[in-house]
Amino acid sequence: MASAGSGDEKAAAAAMITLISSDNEKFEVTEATATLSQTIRHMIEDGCTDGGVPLPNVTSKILARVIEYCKKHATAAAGEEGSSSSFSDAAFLEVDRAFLEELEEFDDAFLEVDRATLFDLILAANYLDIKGLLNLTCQKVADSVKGKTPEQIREMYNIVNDLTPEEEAEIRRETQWAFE
Amino acid sequence: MEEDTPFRRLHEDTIADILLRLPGKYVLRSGAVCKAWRRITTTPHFHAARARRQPASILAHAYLDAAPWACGDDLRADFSSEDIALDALSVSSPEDDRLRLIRYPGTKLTVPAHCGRLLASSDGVLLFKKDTGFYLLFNPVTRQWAQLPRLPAEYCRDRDPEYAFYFHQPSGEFRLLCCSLTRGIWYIVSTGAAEPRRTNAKQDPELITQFVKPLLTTATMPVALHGNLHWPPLWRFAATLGVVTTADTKMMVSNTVSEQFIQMSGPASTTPSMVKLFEMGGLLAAADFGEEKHVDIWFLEDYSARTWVHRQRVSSPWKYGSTGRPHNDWGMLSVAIAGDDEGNIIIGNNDGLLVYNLRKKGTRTVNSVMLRKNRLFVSRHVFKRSLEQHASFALPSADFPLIHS
Repeated sequence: MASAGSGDEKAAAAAMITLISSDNEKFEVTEATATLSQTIRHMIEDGCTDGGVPLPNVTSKILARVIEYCKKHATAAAGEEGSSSSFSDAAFLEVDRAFLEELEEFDDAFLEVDRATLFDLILAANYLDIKGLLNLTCQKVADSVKGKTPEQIREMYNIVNDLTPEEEAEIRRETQWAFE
Repeated sequence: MEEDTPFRRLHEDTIADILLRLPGKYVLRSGAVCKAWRRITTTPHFHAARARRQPASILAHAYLDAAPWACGDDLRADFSSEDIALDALSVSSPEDDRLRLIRYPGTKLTVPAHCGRLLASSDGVLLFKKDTGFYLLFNPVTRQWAQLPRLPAEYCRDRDPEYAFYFHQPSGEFRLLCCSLTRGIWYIVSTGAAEPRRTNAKQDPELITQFVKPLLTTATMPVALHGNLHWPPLWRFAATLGVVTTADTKMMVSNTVSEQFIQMSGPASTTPSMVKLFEMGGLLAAADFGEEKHVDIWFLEDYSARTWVHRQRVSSPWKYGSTGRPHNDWGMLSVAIAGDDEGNIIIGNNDGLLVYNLRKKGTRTVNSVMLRKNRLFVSRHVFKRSLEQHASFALPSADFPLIHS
């Protein structure tokens, strides 16, 4: 356990990655944080991160948020590895649970953003291939749609109804129970 | 403008990723929002992705006090004082996550007059045999029904001709593989055809049926995986090497494309007729109930190399000496087994049922199901919800006397 901790620090000290946002702002992050993104992980594996990683699709405002998420979850991932290899006693499981709860609170607070930002985060999570963040943000949007009628969904997201009245009637007839 | 129409910024794959998180009812509703959402939520890919997220469950029959049924007196004359319902109990929490799929009046007849006897379940669709040569398909989630083409008289001479029920992905058809022993042929009845079609299976049906049993009497419904249907091993291949007897078993497999039967290695077992097959996390799995105190769980880890690995030994769901423990292949008919993607396996019957978690190595008994007064009887059928709408399925007419809740 002690060796795992110092190993992490060593790796962290050794490998810093520079991420460059679309508006040319530079962010220094540890490799552990950056590799939550599969896209960046592949770049590191291919050895093409010297001189920084340009991310032309992500603004500095969104990148800062994404990094905040990755930092928190990178520590969580490191903790999880430690728990499976070195700990099994009840006391540690308690700590583990407390940490998971903290992580959940972090996620909830993290999602307290306006709609445009939420969709920016989805696009960034998709582009950077960060599974956890994509899950979290997609679920948030799904929750906003759940329980709504088609009319309410269209109004909420300004979606134009391009179905013909016949098509719409047909869909409703086929799936009548879903509208009850 | 961009800020106001956020969905326009997302690729359709990402919209699909959002919509497949919705409960079934709201997926169907979202199909009425606009053309793009309709398209996204009706592709086979979307349904497959959504099906993978659905919890696996086992089916149980529940006996209930009869409800007042709206139907003609001629039908009502046959009703008994009980209704029968089919419930889906999720593998991970069978006591809390229970979904009623269909409810129909019990009858004085051996086979319920309304939907008939449940024969099999595949890809979210239940297969009922209403009468000889007459089959009904029902998707309890979309509440749509379909009929298989009625079998001509020459196909109706065999008692239990049904051997496998499966979804044939390339054609989008549900198919029923049948065997006529009196005529010595294998044939397929499917939703997309007007008549049964003979297969060109070269092997002799008499021979094959020594290795596979019909749907009504097989301990395990044939498990569909990688385009093949797998039956559990029935016999031991007693190849003796010197004085050592091997525990080699063979399973019968039918390929859904070539429609030929082949044999494949089964898990090592000295009691092959006590082996059940199931699917778990994309792997073919087997449970060997041959020993009194435990159940051995095997996985076919490498499908192409046919490598079975003994992964786990689970304590028996039955108390020592319990009469509920099956002792032969007939006893295996009432045993349920199913696994989900979270490592949960449900094993047992009404005399002993437990959920075992392969990852946490934890075991929970499912007491409420086992209580006789609850009148709930587990079956060997496995079910996964599906919203997929198939061409030949339709909503029932208004006078169809069935309640679904």
